[in-house]
Amino acid sequence: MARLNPVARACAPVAQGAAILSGYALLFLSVLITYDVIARKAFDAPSIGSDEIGGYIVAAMAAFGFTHALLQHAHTRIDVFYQWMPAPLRTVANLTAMGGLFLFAGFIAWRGWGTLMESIEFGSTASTPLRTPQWMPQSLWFAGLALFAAVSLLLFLHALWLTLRGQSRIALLLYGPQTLEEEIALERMDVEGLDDRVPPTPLPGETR
Amino acid sequence: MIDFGSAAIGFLIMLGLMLTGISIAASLFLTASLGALLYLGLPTLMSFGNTMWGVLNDFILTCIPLFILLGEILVRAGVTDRMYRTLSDWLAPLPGGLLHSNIGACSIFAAISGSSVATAATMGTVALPAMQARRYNERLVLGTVAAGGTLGILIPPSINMIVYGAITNTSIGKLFIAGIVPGLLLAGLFMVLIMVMCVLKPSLAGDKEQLPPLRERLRNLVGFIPPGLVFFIVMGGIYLGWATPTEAAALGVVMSMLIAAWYRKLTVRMLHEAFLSTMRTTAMVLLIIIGAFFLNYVIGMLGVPQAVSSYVAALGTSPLETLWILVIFYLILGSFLETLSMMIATVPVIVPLVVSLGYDPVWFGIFLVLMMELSLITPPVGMNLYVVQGIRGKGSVIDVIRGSMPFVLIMLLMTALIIFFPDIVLWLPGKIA
Repeated sequence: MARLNPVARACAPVAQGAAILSGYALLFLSVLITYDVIARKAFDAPSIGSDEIGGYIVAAMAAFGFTHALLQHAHTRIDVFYQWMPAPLRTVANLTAMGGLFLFAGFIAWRGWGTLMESIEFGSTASTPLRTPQWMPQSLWFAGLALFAAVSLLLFLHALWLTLRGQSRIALLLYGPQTLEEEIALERMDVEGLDDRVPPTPLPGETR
Repeated sequence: MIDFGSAAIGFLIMLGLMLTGISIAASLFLTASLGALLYLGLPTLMSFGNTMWGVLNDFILTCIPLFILLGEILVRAGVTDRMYRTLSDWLAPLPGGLLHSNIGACSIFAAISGSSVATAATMGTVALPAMQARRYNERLVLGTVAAGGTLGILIPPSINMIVYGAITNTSIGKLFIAGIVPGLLLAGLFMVLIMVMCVLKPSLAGDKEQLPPLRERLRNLVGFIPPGLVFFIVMGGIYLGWATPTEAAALGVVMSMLIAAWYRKLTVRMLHEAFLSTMRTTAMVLLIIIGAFFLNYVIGMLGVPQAVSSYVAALGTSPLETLWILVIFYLILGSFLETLSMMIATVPVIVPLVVSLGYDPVWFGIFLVLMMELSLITPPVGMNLYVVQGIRGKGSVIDVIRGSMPFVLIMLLMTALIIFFPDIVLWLPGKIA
């Protein structure tokens, strides 16, 4: 489904592994929160801090998820006007889009670094009962942001290189806007037994 | 700080960036950076790391991945499958037959999923082949799926409502509860429309169904219990004040895992697919949210909301007139922007304006969701139109557009209803403890 380019081939396993780990972290978090809610309602017990842990999990998950979404062409962009653009303009627009995304990714990684350094310098801890040193969750978060910036730069450079070598068609194929089929495949939630679920009653002359 | 004219130019620059295909999140960022560098200087940008950490680390936003995961697991557990079958058995006798099951199934799917495009894509794959075999009017079938799918963001949970709540600091719980009555009403109006059309022109509806015996139909109702249970625990928990939206979502995830295990659909492969899909959507939404907070921050510093409010005040239009101007504004914007972008690009400025005119932010959230639903099925850019056309795989998208037109009119009627009877929206959330 995802169009494979050399950068994606190299980076996808990392991003996918992080995404699956994040999924398990989410399940774990759900159980923690469920425990917290029941303990609070039924026994008036103090929280075990699932809200704080949840925040860290989502921050780290999002940071690594950005790369996963990038490699899957999932970051929303409006691409309907591409079909009306002449080919050279399409190439320029696509390169601009990739460069723009790298600027954003680079900026948030840079500022993420600033935040992490500040936390280390001042030894910041969370103002919660857990008193978590902030550099711990922030390091993981920054690692994700840095990966996102690096991968978006690599993709941009690869597309630029292909274009300069006169292979702008391949660059568009690999990095251009999604086709409708890909988009639907991404949005459709795969349901098992899709074909045998309807019709509810057999049609005349149909064996089922 | 900034006058209305410059703010408008900034808005046009942002639209321009979006329309050249730069990802939405990056467009928000680039526009905000431009504004910050021109008017405020580089130091304003430096403190953004802390803001970003604060945003991502917020417990409220934790509910985005949880609600997405909840839907992914339930659908993969085969819950929607059973529901569609049962719904068809009960709704088939109405004039219009299975067309009603499309609306009904979309509504129930909407109560599990927070996305309209996912609702249309998933229900389309189920409904279109079944209806073609039964000689229903094709345009009407396409219209029911495209329009029914839009209910995904109105009936809670709704990702768009979470994003709206997060950016405008509005209670997400109240927004969810406020979506229930308008969601059911809109689904009901869709069904009334189908009935009227099929009574006036019976050839629109396809072959009559042979109904299974009553006992079997009653027995099949069991299929509604698992999703119903999840919905009532999640929404009930929020409504009764027992749980925040994030906590309710976590309870829902645990329940959906139990349901999947009960149906013997819980496998490692299924879980991993659900995880990958959840992360993709979550990351997409959160990146846009980061861009939105960035823009929000710069817009606030520049005083754009005040500039726009005083400009509108000087126009001397009444609040009601302003609202109708907004309807037109959103119809135009929605015809070429995608829903989340349309909301995020306007909310930081429009919501303060609307609130200053005396409208409730929860009410306006639902109004905006209706506008986004309209944008999903209005050409030239209506995501649901293209998704349904893509699943159909033949003919022209014009058929889908024509089939959706009657539903567009119903949505405009619904917009008028909530404008003139705001209690449709505000009554239920007003009862929250």
